[in-house]
Amino acid sequence: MKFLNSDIDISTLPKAETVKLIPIDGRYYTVLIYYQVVYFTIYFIAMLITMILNSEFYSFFVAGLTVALFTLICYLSFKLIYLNFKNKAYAIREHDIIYQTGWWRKSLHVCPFNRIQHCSIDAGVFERNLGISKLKIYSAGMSNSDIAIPGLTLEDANNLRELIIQKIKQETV
Amino acid sequence: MALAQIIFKTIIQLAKIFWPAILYILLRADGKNNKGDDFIFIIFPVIALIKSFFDFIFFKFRVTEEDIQVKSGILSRKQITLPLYKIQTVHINQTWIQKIFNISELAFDSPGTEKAEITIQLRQLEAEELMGIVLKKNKSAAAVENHEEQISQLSLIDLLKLGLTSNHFETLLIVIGLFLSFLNNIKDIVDDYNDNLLEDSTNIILGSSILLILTGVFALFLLSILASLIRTILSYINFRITKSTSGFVVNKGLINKSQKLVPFKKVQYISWKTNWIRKKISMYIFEFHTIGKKELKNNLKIKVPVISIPVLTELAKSYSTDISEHFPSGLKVHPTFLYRNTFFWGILPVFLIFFPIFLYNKSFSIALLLIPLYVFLHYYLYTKKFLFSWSDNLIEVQKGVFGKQIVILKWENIQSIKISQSLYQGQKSLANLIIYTAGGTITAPYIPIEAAQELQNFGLFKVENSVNHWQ
Repeated sequence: MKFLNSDIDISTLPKAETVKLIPIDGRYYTVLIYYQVVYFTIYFIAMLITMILNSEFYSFFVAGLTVALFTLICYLSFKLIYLNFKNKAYAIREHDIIYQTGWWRKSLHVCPFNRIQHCSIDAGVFERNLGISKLKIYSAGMSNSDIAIPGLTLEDANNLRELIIQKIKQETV
Repeated sequence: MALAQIIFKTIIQLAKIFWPAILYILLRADGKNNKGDDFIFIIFPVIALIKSFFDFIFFKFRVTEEDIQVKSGILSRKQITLPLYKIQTVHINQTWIQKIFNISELAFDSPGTEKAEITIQLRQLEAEELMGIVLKKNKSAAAVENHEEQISQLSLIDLLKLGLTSNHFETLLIVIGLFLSFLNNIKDIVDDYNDNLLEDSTNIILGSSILLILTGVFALFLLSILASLIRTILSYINFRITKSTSGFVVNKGLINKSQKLVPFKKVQYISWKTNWIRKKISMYIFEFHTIGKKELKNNLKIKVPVISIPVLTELAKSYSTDISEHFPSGLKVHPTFLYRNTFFWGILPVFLIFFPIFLYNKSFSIALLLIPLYVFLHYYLYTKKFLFSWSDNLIEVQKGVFGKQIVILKWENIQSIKISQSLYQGQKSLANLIIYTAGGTITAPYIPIEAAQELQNFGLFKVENSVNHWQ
């Protein structure tokens, strides 16, 4: 093999941060809302039971305050979920896959195809009903280095998986 | 051989099953003897013996041209096939009981798949032979004669130096912890006779003169030095590292002997650390970070104490030949890292718990105010020592708080790269650069976002252009 070690002009390298990212499917937001509604219903019932059991402590004012606080937490939590959802996006380049996530802490994770070990598709109850799924990409790095892209239509997820498998084959040959 | 192995396994199993029972007998104070209790002393050994016997009968392995196959299990038969080319490292371990029977344990590690790891118990000679065979086949065509060259060996003086310069503060904490739990145990036992032993001893200590307290502190200090010395000697006695054609072989241990092989090509990155005193006598702890999630968990990291610069250079050269003294470019952590972390980990927690504790115990709450100071010092030193530098082929990270650690990583050994930026960092145009490798994660916190992006792009360029596959 011929040894090449020419100077590299960093400014001419392809830039991961300027790639146009594809936002994930809107149905994923519905799934998140479903989960949140389930959680909050459980919390709400638990809160009601506590209030009834300690009714001598809960005056009308205290009960009202608790409910107001609960509503505020609900609102903030839905807002946060929306912001987080809005920031989830991905892109496929020739040699790697890019995934962006997070609102309060935004991250851009890039994994080259020649480092991917395998990938899997899974879907929870709500996801299955709405016809979306999650694509997980595993590399040999530590467990938190795996990328999981939620909110892909089943077709997209399958296509992506096929593409990645093709790419892995090409890169390793 | 077979008998020895059965007995050995029985002893281990018995020890595992029995320790609560033995403890119970020892601590049984009333002296009454129930016949039912003694029954378990017959049943358990018999069961353990039968189980070990069948485990031994049903355990079969063979080494073929391509793989190692192991069959085991009595009721649920299990078969593991480990392809030879997937083997990452081969270890020979020997505990003191195994040493008596001249048995060794041969362990094969493969990446990721934690379930597929194989351990085989063999006679020492056979284990070494099998290790040789597997290594030869693993290297396939490139197998060259296995000549070994000794790199370093620790003498008793080196061991003493290593022990004396280790982190006594850490040992002190362990000693104090042990002492407290010991005291607690005694308290439980002698509860009837004296139920305020702790209080009494505290009162005695408080009542005594400053000189006495100082003597006590000094004694504790000496004790912790002694403890670290013993710890070091136990873990590094008989330490020897040799270089063979395929990798480094590390031998160590007096009571529990262990031999580890580090193949050159499986090393993901290397690091060495030192502290202020150790640097004066050029002593370092060198570490190979190889592939494998299990190694991190099982404390199987391959640590090598190094007693001279040439040895350090030799070990480092095996990873990359062009490690230079000075790297062309370097990045430091932004000072806001210090302020933010001092606030969130030092000032804020103390602020939250200070007033409740102040009401409860005034003098103790004053001592709490030392926490922010310590946190500040910690992050100040970290910020001051951190340097992320790189060349065309390598990344070098210098970091540390009380000591200093240097990490060397090849760009090609990167698995994936992440840039993470909080809202606050966004305002200051800062970001964290997180580099994932198969041997661990390296983070550069609070560096300028443009630099992080450039490094990410450059890293991806290097990885995607790397010709040889990473493992």
